[in-house]
This record gives sequence, C-alpha cells and structure tokens, in this order.
Amino acid sequence: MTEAILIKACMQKDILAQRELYDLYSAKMLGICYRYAYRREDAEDMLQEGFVKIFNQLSTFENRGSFEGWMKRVIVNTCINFLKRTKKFNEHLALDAAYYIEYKEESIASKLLGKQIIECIRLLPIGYRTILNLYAIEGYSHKEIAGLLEIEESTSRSQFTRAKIALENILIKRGIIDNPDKKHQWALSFRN
Amino acid sequence: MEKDKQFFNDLEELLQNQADKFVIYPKDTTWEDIKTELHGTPKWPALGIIFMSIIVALTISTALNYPPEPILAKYKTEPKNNSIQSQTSNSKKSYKTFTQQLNTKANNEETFAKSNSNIPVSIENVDNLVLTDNELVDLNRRTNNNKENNIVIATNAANSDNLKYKQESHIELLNETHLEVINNLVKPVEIVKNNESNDLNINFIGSENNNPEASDYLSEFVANKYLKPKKPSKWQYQLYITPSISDRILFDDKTRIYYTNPTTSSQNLSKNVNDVIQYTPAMGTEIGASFMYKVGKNLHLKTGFQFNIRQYFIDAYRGFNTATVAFVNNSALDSVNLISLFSNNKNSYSTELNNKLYQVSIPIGIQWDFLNIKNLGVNVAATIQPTFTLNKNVYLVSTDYKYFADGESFFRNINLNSAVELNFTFKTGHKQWFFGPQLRYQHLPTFNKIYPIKEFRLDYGLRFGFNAPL
Repeated sequence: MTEAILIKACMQKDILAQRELYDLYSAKMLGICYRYAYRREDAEDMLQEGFVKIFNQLSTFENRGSFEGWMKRVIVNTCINFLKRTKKFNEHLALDAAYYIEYKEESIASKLLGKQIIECIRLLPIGYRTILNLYAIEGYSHKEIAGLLEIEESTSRSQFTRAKIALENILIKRGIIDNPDKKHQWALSFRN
Repeated sequence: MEKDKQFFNDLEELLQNQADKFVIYPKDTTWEDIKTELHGTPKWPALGIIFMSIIVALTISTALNYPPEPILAKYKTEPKNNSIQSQTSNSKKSYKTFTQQLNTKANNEETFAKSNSNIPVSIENVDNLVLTDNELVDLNRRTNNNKENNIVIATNAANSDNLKYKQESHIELLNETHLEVINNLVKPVEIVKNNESNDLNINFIGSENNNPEASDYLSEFVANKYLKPKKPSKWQYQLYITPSISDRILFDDKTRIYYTNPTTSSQNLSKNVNDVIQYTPAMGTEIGASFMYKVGKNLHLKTGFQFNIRQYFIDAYRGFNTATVAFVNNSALDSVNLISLFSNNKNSYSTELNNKLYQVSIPIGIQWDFLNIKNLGVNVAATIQPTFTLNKNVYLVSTDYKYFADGESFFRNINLNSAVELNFTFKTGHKQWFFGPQLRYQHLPTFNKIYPIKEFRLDYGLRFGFNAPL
C-alpha cells in the first residue's frame, strides 16, 4: 500500500517521492550496476541513467510482478546498453587468463563474503561476467541473453560454462570455496 | 558428472544469495544529477533575483538623477546664504545682445528663492551676468575689475581654456553637442523674463541663427538651473534592507471534533497544536524601495515596492502515509486525503521541511518624525502591505497533527501584512541614514479558509537604510 502511494506520487513527478524511492533502492541497484561495470564510476553513471529511465517510464509499470523486479530489469538493460555503447562489452580475454587475473588482484579490501564474491565476479573478463550475471544471478534464459547481447544462444551457453569454471577457480584459489572433490561442503556453510 | 552439476547448482545459488544482499551506497551527487536531469535546474529564484536587481537598480538610478541634469553642462558650486534678487522689467520682454549686460534695472524686485543654506546659489544678481564676445561671465565675483578674475560660466570652444579658471562656480564642457551650443553664444540672444512664472528664457535672435536645440540648452541652464534656485523637495526616496527572524503561530479551533467519533479522534487533538508540531524559526530578509511625500512638518506618506523572503523549518520524520485534512463543510464533516512523505512520528529518520516563501508587496503607510536634534532623530512608521506570494513551497500538517503534506492546493497567494518600525536617524549631507527594530505580521492565514489550522507568520528584525531628497 505504501509502495503504491510512493509510485503514484513518483508518477506525478513529485520530487520528494522520487527522492524517497531513490533512497530506498539506490544502494541495491548500484550493487547490480557494480557487478556489470568496469569501474565504480561507470556503475554510478549506469545508476543515474537507470533511475532517470525508471522515473520516466514509471507509467509502463503495470503492477504485474514486483516493483523491485521491474526496476532491476530496467537497471540491467541500462547496464547492458551502457556496456554496448562504451564498447567495453567487446573486450575479450581468454579463459586461461582467469588464473592470472587472480594473482593480479592481490587483496580484496572487504572481508565480507558478499563483497568478496562480487569482487571475484568482477575479476572475470567483461563478456564472461555479463553472461554469468544475467544467467546465474538475474535468472535470464540463454535465449533472452542471446537476444539482449545480440549473440548466438550457443555462444551464451559456452561463455557461461567457461565463466563458471573461471569463477570457480578464482573462488577456490582465494579460499572462498573448497574444491568440489572435497564434497563441496562449502555451499552449506555459506548459506548461513 | 552428477557431482559437478550439483556443485555448479550450489555455486549459482551462492551467487544469487550473495548478490542479492550486496549493496553499495551511491555518492550524494548522483541524486543531484538525476534530479537535474528530471527537473532541470530551478530557474525562478534566479529570475526573481535578476528581476529584483533590475527594479532596484532602476529605482536608484532614477532617484539619484532626479531631476535630470541638463545635457549642456554639469554645474558645480558651493552653497551660499545670499538670496537671489532678480530685477524684472515692466515690459514682458527686454532685449539684449551678446555685447550687453543681460538685464537692466527692473521696476519690481522679485525674490527667486528664500535663503536656505542647503540650496546652491551662485548668481547674486542677474544684472551682473554678462555675455561678452564669446563668454557668459558672472561679474558678481569680479574683483578689482580685473578681467582675469572673471568667473566664466560659459564660453565658446576657442576659449574653452578659460573654463579651467575655477573658483566658486564653473561649467565643464561635456561633449560635442555642448560645444556647438556654446559656439552659438557669439550670436545675438534675447533674454525673456516671464513675469508669471519667473522663468528666464534665452532665445537666439534672427531666423538664421534660431537654433531651438541650443536655445533650449541655454535656457535650461541659465534660467532654470543656474539662476532659479531649487526649492526643497517634498519628495524623498528610501532604500532599505531588513534581516529578520521568521516565525509563525498556529491556531486550531478544533470545531471538527464535534463532528468526529470521539473514539477515533486523535489523542494529539487534546493538546495545543503549537506544542505538538515542532519547528525552528529561520532567517528571512526584506529588501525594498519607497517614495515618501511630506504632508506636514514631521509627517510623511510613503509607498513603494518590497521583496520578502520568509521561512521556518518543521521538524519531521520520513515515511509515507496518507495525510487527511478534515474540515466542517455545510454542518458536516468533510475531508481531503493527501499523499504524505513525512510524519510527526519520531520512529523514523529525521528531516527538516523548509516552509519558505518569496513574496512581493506594496507597503503603504505613514512616518512621523517625532524627535530631531541637529543631525540625529527618531521616527516611527507603520505600513500595511498587500502581498503576493511567488511560490507555493509549503507543507501543511494533517488535521490529526500526525503527517505533513504538500500544502499547495490550500495555499493563499494574496495576503495582507502590516509592519511597525522605530528608526534612529542621522544625517550625512543630503542623506538621512536610519536603523531600528521592525515587526511585521501576516493578517490572513497562510492557507485558505477550508484548511482549519490557521497559520499566521510574523517577522522581527533590524532595518537599515537611508532617505534622500528627490
């Protein structure tokens, strides 16, 4: 009910309501942008562009599904478009380089698990990272990803598989997860 | 293979869980950029300030240049106490050429001005104002008949060096137009005295030399400015600024309670609304320009134009709700629901709501100078001020005192204020400076008569400014 009032006020271009909505969701949405962005500054730009779209396209939200889910889709689309526009999405790195990347980043400032994992994702080449984000975290299908990134569906699948392996290697080498041969007990421990 | 699949499923689940919890707080400037992109930069305060600056600049420049200086010359002189005596002829016209004295003995002596130390006087007697070959000379100050000591008032271009001879009065050549007029002094002129108006007019004789523009210049200079003394003006202008504290008082008659179910009415209503709504008075300002007209020895009427900024801060807390404004309409309870983003409930993040108004008004009132000792004095003044508010940036409180909402829909644009002031004055030259306390009160509620909680604003501050004659 309260969210409905807020959305209605935002649709009426109420600046205070817009600020309220921004305060509620900006941190979470910037977290999403950060997963896709090359640099922190890019993430801030994506967030700004995304929120402008959200406020301008609020009338297209038809109360189907959650409002937060709708916002996330707008933000993710904005991130993809941003990467395409800045051509950073076209950067390519061989899978083997993932081992090297791990050593290039000597330390991760935050000791928090969420932060560590996100930073590990950001170590991946931008192509791997984007597909991993879209498929494993955002829940897009390979078909949707292929349409969104203008690639073949099979490419999306193969890139995702490679991305997972690369990420797994990074996580294992950083000691964040155990080797799957050790019965992957890590998964249970991290859910708590 | 199965083991790997399970591993990757667990990895995806881990990623989803951790990514969902991951937040980063954006920079403060990001919101400002979004706001600017959505709403643009606020323009009207800047426009208002520019508008006000133009009005104030025009007012000052007009006042400082009133009456307008003749284009011909800028005249400088020192005050003298002597009155000007002018002799006029019985006939309406007396003719002189440029080689003769300006006027002869007159049958009737007329006083052109009363003696007044504040009035600049330079020519003691019209008889001694002489047009020579190419100069207009004041013989009053001629000493020992020495031509070198003549006070040259005007000359032609060739002899303009004479103008450097400056004692008590002189003319400065200003521009080419002026030179052209001065050159006409070598032509015959006629001096015309109008007995009814006491004005002196100077015309060039002969059609071929009849230059109306030059004649106007000379007439204005000699007759209306140089010879004719100024009378003390009854008009004054005034410029002032008043830094002030803006405050407010709320009144709620609570008649709606009688139409409400007692079990549902807010507990807040048993308290005084001023105790429930916390706020902080803030700094306001008024800037204005007035014209005053002297109607008695110590009494002035005045009116002008004034710009006010008045504001205060409401202590509020974030949270969205519906703010209900209940009111009695046709002996029945009616209500309006407004979207509220701020409440009076302290269980949330605190914030401040700025109830800030920009206003223009036309003060109309009187001023009484009740004490004058040499250059010091004291006066009191009172004005009523029809006021128009330029913006509607106000918040109102719901009638249960719980929530704050945008008050634009209930706002009253036109209002009436009054002000009283006590001024301590001191004179420096033509200007009279003043300072003193001022109280201004808003007579009509900020919101219209439907909204039952009446807000009256008041400002108290220190007023600074000056008066000067027009």
